[in-house]
Amino acid sequence: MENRTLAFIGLEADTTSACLSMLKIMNGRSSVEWMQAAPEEADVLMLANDDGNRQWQDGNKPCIVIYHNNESKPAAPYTLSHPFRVMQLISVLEDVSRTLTESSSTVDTKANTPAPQPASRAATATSGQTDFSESLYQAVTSQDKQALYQSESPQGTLYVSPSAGAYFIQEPLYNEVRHKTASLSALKPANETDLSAYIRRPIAELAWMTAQLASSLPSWLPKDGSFRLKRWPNVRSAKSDRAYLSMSALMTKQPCRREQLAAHAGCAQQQVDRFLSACAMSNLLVCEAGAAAPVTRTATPDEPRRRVSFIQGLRHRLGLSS
Amino acid sequence: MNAVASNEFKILFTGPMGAGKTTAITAISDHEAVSTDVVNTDLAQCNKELTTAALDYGQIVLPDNSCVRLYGTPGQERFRFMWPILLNNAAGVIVLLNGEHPELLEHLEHYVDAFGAGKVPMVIGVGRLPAEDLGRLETLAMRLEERGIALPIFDADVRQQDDVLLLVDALLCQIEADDCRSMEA
Repeated sequence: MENRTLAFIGLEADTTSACLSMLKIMNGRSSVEWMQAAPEEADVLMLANDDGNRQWQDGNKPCIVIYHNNESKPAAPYTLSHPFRVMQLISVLEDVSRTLTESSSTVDTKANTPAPQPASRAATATSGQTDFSESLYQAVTSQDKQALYQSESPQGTLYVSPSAGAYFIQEPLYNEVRHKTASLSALKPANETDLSAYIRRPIAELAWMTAQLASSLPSWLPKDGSFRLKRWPNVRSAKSDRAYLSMSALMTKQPCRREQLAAHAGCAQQQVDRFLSACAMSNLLVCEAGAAAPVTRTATPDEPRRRVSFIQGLRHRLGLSS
Repeated sequence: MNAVASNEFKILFTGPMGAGKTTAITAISDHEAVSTDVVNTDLAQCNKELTTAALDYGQIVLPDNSCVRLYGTPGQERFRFMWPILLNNAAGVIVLLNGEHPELLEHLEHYVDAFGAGKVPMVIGVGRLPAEDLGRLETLAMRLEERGIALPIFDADVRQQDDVLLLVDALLCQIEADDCRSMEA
């Protein structure tokens, strides 16, 4: 069990109290135990969305910015819309914890330290995942589609059939993949196999879960390229989120660069990169290296302004977070 | 995209008989949808007692007292003459389809073509899909992709308000994306 500390800065008393209650619920159910600490000593900071807290965001500690659901989503790597549920808190804390583990692993590697890394299992999974993600991308985009590929793991074998748009997996490995702890080898061609004892799942789901392990854009996608979507991903199965809807809408209309997507969707670059990675592994992404997105005005300035007002008002009335 | 009159924001719900247009409008309207239901005499097409013969209407009043109007088209082909009238000035269209229907693909193309063929912001919601049958949605998306049309297609149980809200949110994102095509590169 790993221990990490969390500090609350500028949050209202009821929010802090709710967070502490949620942490109590989480502890014992998660691989990381979270405790409250002073800001100077904490591993992670949880901040109110307030200009007065900018100094903390400029520091080197991961910050989770809490914003009210009637505010715009702040451009920060980790955010939570208030009010939030315990599962949302768990999700963001897991992301932060993984980043902390990865960065400590990177720092130690750079320092050439021979000692074993903490949480080495997660680190191994991440490094192996790069090979797996690239091989999945190659399998789904290859013109010469092999009927079946396989990936090995200590928990079993996973099969991928790009032509069927499906992967085949058994329960123990599926649970590992879902909990982002599986260590999967790169895909390689497989012989015909009886898959009747395997669960059939859509490749898009595997692509999505694999992409969540990446901390940045994978090396097999061009960082300075423009990206468009051939068709919409099934965003719903990939955790419905406004940012994904926004990115999908824009990318099906025009090629976009990563920075444009982050600005348009109001989300962190890491979320954009994971989304692009998932779309690439689902064979939905078209990469145009170095191409600039076209600039096309389609409406007079007054029309969009009025529409923006309607859209904001409608979202507010329907309880759709901004 | 269609021009939207400055004082009107209209969302259109369309689809074949029994796809859930009235239910979807009622799920988000401030009041129960005003329907013009009559006894269904076309039981071969859809086995339900009542059906909409003219249109459904719902509305959502916004904080600034402006109003979003929700219109549901009648599903029967003989009322098709009303579709372009209702489509006029619509900000977007939500197409609801019955995933169990044997002519699902034909219905998809029929309604997409009738309501702008992808030129008007549009979202497709498919109901009554067997659990986890995402392959069927993929088939629909690929059929449109072959024609160069990329539209969001979700499984949607319109009896669940969250499902209707997802469709509306995806539609709003498409309208925003149309407006943001002018953003700085």
